[in-house]
Amino acid sequence: MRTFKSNPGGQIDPEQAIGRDALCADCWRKLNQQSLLLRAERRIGKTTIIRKLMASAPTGVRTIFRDVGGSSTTTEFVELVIEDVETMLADKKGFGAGIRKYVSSLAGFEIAGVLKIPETATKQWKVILENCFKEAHRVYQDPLVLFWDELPWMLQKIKSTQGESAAIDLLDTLRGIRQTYKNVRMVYTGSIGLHHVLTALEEKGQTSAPVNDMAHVDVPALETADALKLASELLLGEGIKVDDLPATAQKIQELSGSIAFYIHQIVSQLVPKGTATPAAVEAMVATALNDPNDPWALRHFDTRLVTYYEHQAPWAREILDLLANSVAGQSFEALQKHVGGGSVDRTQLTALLRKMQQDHYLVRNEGNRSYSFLLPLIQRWWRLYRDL
Amino acid sequence: MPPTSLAHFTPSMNDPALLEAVFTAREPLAQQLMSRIADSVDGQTRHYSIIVGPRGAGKTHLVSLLYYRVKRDPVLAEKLRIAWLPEDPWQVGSYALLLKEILLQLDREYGVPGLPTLLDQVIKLTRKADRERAFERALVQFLGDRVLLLVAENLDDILIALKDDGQKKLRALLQTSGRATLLATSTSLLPAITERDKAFYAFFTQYALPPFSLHECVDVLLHIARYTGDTALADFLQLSAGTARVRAIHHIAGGNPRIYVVFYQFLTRETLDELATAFMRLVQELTPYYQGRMQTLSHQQRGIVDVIRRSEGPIAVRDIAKETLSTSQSISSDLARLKNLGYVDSNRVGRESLYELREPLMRICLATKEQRGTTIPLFVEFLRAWFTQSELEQMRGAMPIGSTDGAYYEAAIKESNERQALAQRFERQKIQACLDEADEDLALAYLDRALVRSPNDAWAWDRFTHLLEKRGELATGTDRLTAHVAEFPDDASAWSRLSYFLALHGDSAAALGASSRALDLVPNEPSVLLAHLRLLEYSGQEAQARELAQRAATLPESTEDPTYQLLMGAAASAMENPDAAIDAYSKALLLSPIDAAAWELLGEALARAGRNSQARLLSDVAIEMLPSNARIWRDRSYSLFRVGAYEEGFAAMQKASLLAPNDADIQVGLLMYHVRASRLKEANELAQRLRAKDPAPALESCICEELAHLALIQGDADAARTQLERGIYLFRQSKRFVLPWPVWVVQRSHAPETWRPYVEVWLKVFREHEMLEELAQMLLRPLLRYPHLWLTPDLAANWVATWQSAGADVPELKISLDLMTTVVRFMTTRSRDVLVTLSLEQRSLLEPELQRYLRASGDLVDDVDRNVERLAATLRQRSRAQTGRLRAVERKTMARLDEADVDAFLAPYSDRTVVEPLRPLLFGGWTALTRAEARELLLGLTHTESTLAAVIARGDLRLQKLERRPLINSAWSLYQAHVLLSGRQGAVDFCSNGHETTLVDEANVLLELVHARAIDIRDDAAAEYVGLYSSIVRAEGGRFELADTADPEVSQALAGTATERVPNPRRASDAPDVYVAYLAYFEHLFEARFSLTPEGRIAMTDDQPIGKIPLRAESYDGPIRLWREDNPR
Repeated sequence: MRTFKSNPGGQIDPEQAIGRDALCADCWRKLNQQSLLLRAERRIGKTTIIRKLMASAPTGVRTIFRDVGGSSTTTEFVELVIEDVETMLADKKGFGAGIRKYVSSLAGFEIAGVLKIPETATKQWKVILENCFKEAHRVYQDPLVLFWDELPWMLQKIKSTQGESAAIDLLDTLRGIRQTYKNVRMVYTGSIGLHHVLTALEEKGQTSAPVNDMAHVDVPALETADALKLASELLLGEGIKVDDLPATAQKIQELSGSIAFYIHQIVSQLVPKGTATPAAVEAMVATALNDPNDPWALRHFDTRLVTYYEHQAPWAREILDLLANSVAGQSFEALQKHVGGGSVDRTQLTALLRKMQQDHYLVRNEGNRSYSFLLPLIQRWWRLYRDL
Repeated sequence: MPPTSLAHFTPSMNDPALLEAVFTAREPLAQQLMSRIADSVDGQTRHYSIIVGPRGAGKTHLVSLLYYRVKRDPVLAEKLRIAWLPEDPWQVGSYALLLKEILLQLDREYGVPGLPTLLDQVIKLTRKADRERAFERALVQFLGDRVLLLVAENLDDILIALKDDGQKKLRALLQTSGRATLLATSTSLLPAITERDKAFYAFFTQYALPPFSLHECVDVLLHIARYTGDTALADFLQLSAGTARVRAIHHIAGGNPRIYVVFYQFLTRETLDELATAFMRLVQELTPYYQGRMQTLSHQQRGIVDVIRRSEGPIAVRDIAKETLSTSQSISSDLARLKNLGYVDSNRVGRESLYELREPLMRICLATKEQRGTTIPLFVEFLRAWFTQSELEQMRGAMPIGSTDGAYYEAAIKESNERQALAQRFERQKIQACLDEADEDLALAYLDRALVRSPNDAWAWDRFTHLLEKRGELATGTDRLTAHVAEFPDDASAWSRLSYFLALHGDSAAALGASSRALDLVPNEPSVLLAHLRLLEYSGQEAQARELAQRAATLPESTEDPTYQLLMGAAASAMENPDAAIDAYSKALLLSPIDAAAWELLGEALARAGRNSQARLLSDVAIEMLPSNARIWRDRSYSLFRVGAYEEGFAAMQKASLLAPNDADIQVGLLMYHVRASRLKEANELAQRLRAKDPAPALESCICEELAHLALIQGDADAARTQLERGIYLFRQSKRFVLPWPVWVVQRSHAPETWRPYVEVWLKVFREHEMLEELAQMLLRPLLRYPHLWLTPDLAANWVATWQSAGADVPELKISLDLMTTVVRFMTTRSRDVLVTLSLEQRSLLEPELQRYLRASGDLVDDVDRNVERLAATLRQRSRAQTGRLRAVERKTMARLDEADVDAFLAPYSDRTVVEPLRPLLFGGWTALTRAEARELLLGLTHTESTLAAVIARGDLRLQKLERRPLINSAWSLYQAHVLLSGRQGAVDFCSNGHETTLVDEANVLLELVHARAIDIRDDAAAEYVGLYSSIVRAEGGRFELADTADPEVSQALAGTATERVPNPRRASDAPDVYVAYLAYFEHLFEARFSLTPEGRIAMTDDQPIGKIPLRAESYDGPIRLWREDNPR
C-alpha cells in the first residue's frame, strides 16, 4: 500500500479509506434492496465513502458518480444524467444513439460533444429524464447505481431559479424512476441536510414524500481502532518523529473525535514541526479550538442554529448548553424540565430533538434513552465557546 | 549581474536557476508540496494545497520553483499536465472563462488538439451552462489518464469572480472528474474556503507563509550576493555592520521578501548623500507598488490603513473607529481582514488591541504625496530604521553643531527612542504572557526578536538565558552570547552571562576568562564580583578566591542591597568563616526572599557547616516561597538526604526533575537516589541516558561516582575500576571534580566481610594512578560528614579495621588511618579528650570536622542555629501573607473595575459612622467621601488592571464608607475602605492618585511608590512614611500598628514615659535619619527606633516595650483586614 500522507479536505484513495469497509458492505446490502440517502455532517467523509463504494461495487453493478452541486436547473441536471448514463452504458449499443435521437427529435442538438436539450423542450425535462432511463432499461437490466453528491445544493438552486415545484417535481420524478426501473439505484448525499430542503419545500405547500423509499444511512465517525490506525499510518507516512507512537496516535484519536478529516488536519499541522508528542497534539488542538479566528469553522454550529431552527434556536442552544458538560447525556424529561424554563411542550421538543439529530448535533442513546452530543469534538468546542 | 535582473516584482519571469539559487528558508515547505503533487499522480488521491501569505511574501517564487521542479521530474512530467494560470487572473471573470483559460494554458504547454475548433463552436452556444460543459468535456478528454496540476495564483480573486455558482461548479468538476490536483495561492482565506456552508470549506490544506525572520532575510541577501558574484557584498553581510543593515531592512520591510530584493542595492551605501538620493529613488519606485496594494482594498479598509499609517505609534481600535467615524464593532472585521492580508499587525496591551502597519516602508511610501516636497520626515524615518542607535549617536557626534545632517540624525535619534520604548513595552507584555502560559517556544521567538531589535536589552537577555538554561539549550545560549560580546565587547553583563553558561558547560577556564572580562569592565559591581568569586572556588583556585574576597570586603557597605550581602557571604565563605557567611546570606534573604540564589547559597553554607537540620528547616520554607523552582527542590532533596529522609528526598528530586526535565544536574541527583536504593535497572537506564547526552565533565564525574558504586553493588569490579579511573582522569583535569567516597559501601552492607573486595579495588586503582594521598583524604573526611546517620561507632570501627588490614603496607595511608581510629574513639565517647594524643597540626585538622559532626548529629546547637530558625519563621510568615494576598486577589486574571459591579459594591454605602471600624494605618487627616464621590472615584479607575479591581470583583465585599487622607509631598492619597465581608467588619487600604491605584498591604508596595516617585519622603513626609511603612508590616502576632496617641488607653500607657502628646512617628532628636515611633504589637506597646535610607528602606534598630495595651486583634484575608472572630475584645 502507498504511504499515507495527510490530506485534509483532499480526495482520498479508496484503498486508504481506513475503517469504512463495514459501512460500505452495509450500504451494498441495502442497495441490493433500495436506494440510499447518505447523511453526515460536512467533512465526515461522505465523498470518500462514495468512492470506496464505487471501488467495492459487486461484480455486475455499474456505477457513476457526479457532484451535481453546480447544476442550477432541472434541464442541466437531466443533460448531465444523460451523459452519465451514456458513459455507464457506453458498451451497450443503442442507448446513446437512442437517447440522442430522442433529444434530437425535440430539436435538441449536440455541440462540442455536449447534448443540449432545446430551449423549447426544457419544460419537458421530466419526460426526457424518464425516457433516458427507459432507453437505458431497454439495453441494460442489470444494476445501475448513480451516486449524486451535493444534491441539496442543486435543489436549492433549482428552487431559486425555477420555483419550489420544480425541485419537488425532480425528486418525485427520480422517485418514480426508481419505482419503475428496479435495477436503478440512486445514492443521494449532500453537505446540507436534504431534510432542510424538503422541510422548506413542505412549508411552501409542496407535500410529497420523495425520499421515503430510500434507506437513510448515517455516516458516523470512525471506530476508535480505525481512527488509531489512521493516525498511526499518517504519522509514519509523513515521517514525523514520534517517541511514543501509540500514545500520540491515541491523543490524536481522542481529540479529533475519530473524525478522519480532523485526524488529517492535526497530522498536517504536525508535519512542519517534524516531531510529535501527545502534549504537542493537545496544545495544537486546544489552540485551534480556542482561536478566536475559528480556523476549524466550528462557530458555524452556533450561527446556523438560527437558520435551521428559527424561533426555536434559543431552545436548541439551551439543549446544547445542558449537554455540554454531560458525559452520560440527559434524558428527555431532564431536557424538558429546563429548556425554555420548562415551557416547551413535548411535541415541540421531540420535533426539535429529532431535527438536531438529523443535523448531527445530537445522538439518542438507545440504552438509556438519553441525548448527548454526536461528536465529542463539537461538545468540547461548545464548552469552550460558551464558556461552560 | 545587476540586481534588477532579479525582476523583483515578477518572479515567474525569472530563470529557474535563479529561482533555485535565491530560494532559502522554505525548502522544507517546497518539499512538502512536491510530495503532495507526487502523491496525486498515482491512485485516486488528490491533494488541494493553498499557500497563504500577503503580497510580496514569496508565493509566486515558491510556485514558480515548484513548477520547474515538476517539469524536471520525468515521472511527474509524464503523468501530469500543468495548467499554470496567470498571476493576475483578470481574464477569469466566470467559470467558463476559467475553463477556457485552463485549456489555453494547456495548449501553450502541450498543444490541445482541436482547441481552435472548440472555441469557435463554443461561441455559438448561448447558454452559459452549455459553454461550461463543452469546456469541461474537452478538458477531461484531453487529460485522459493523466492528472491536471492546476496552478492558480491569487485564487481568492478567481473565487470572487466565480461567485457561489461558479465555485460550486468548479468543485463539482474537481470532485466528479477526480483528475485534478490543485496548487493555489491566496493573500487571504475567503469565506468560500472558511465558511462551513460554502463550496470550498475545508477543501484545501493550507500552508502559511509567515514573514521572513531576520536570519532568513540575511540568507536571502547572501544568496543574491553569491548568485550575482558580488563576493564583497557577501563578505560584508557577514560582518556586524552588514547585519545591522540587514536588521534595518528587516524592520522596514516587515519581513516582506520582495522588499528585501529591492533593498539589496542599498546595502553598501555609506554617505548620507548617497543614501538620501538612493532612498528617494526607492520610495518613488515602491510607491506605485504600495498604492496598487491599497487599491485592492475596500474603501473602508483603505480609510483604516490610512488612519493607522498616520498614527504616531500603535493605535487602539476605538481610536481608529473615532477617526473613521465608525464604531469599533463595524471595523473589527475589516481589521481582522487587514491583518489576514498582511497590512497590519496587532499587539494586545491589557484588554486593548493596538494596531500598526506591518511594513514601515509602506508608511513612508504612502506618505510621500503628503510631504509635498519635503523629505525630512521620511528620510528621518528611514535613518531611524537604517542605522542602529549607537551609530546614529556616533554620527550625530561627528557632525558640526547646527548642521543639517546633524539635525537629521538628532531627529532620527529622538524618534527612535520614543518608538523603541513603546515597542519594547508591547513586546515585553507579549513575552510575559507567553511565559505565564508556559509557551516557551513562542516566548523564545519573541525574546530572540526583542534582542535583534535591542541587542542590549538586559530584561530580554535575562529571560532569554534563563529559558535556554531551563531547556538545556546551553550551546545555543553560549553561541548567542559569544556573538553578542564579539559585537558589544563592553557589555559587562553579557560577559557575566557568558561566563555562567560556560560554567554550566563545564568549561571553567573559559568561564573564568569571560568573568574576568566582566570584572575588568565593572570592578566594583557586587553581582560580577560574586559570580567571579564563586567561579574561583568552583574551579579550586582557593588562593585567588581569598584574594578576591579580601578585595570585596573593602567595598562600600550597602546593607540594603541583597547582592552585596550575598557577596559578603561568599567572601566569608572563601575566608573560611562559615558563621559570617551564614549571617550575610540570611540578611540577603530577608531583603529578597524570592531570590533563588540566596536560598541556594545559604543552604550550601549550612550544609558545609554541618548544620543539616537548619538546612532542612529552611528548605521547608524555600519551597513555599518558590514552589516552581527546580533548583530549590533539588537543594531540598539534598538537605533531606543529609538528615536521612531518603524517601522524602527522592520525592523532592523527582519534583525537581518534573520542573526541569533537561537539568542534567538534577538527573544526576536522581541517579544518586537510585543507586543508594539499589534500583539498579532505573539507575542503569538513567546513567545511559545521561552519558548519551555528553555531559559536562563536572557532571560526568558525579556520574562516574554513582556508576562506580553501582558497579560494586552489582559485583562488577572491572566496571567499578573503569569508572574510578574515569573519575580520576576528570579529577586531574580539575580538583573541583569529585572522587567517589568509599565509605558509601558501608551503607550498602553492614557485613565487614563484604567490604574487602571493594577496598582492594580502590587501593589498586589509586595506587596505579599514584593518588594514594588523595585516597587518604577520601577516607578521613567523609567519615565525619553525612554518614553519621547510619555509621554507628561499631561499623566505623570495623571499617577502619578493614582499611588497616588491607592498607597495612601503604605508608601514605598511615596517618589517615591513625586519625580515623581517633575519630572512631570520638564517635564512641563524644569526648574531645581523645584529641589529646594528637599533634597540634592534627588537632587543628580534626577539630572543625568534629564540630561539624556534632552539629550534624544535633549535639551542638548555637546562636547561629537559633538565628536560622528565627529566619525561617519570619520568612514563613511572609510567605503565608503573600499567598493569602494572591489568593484573595487572583493576580492572574486581573479584573478591571468596569467588570466589577461597582454599584453592588456600594450598596450599603452610608454617611453614617461605621460601627466598630478597623483602625486606620495612619492617624489624623481623614475625610469621608460621599457616596457619589466614592462612586466617581471607583469608576474613574477603569482602564487600569488593578488589584483593587480584582478585590472588588470578588463579589463578596460591600463598601460601607470610603475615607481619604492625603499624603505629604505627594499627589497620592491613602484610602481606607470600610467593608463588610459576609457580615464581618473589615478594611481595605489603598493608595491612589485618581488614575492609578495600588493596594497597600505590604511594605514592598510602598517602596515601589517611592521608587516611582509617587511619594517623596523628604522632610516631613519621612516620618509619615515610616509610620505608614511600619503599620503595614505583619508578623505572627499581627501588625506593627502605629499607636494612636490620642487614644486614652495608649495615652495612659505612655503616661509613665512622661511624654507629652508628640507626633507619631517623629524624627529622633539625637540622629538625623532616625525616627521614633510608638507601635502596638500583640497586646504590647513599644517605643521603636527606625533608620530610613533615601531609597525608602526602613530598618528597626531598637525597640523597648512600654506596657500592655488591650488592643482588639486583626486577622487577614490577603489585603483585607478583619476583626478576629475569636477575640472579641
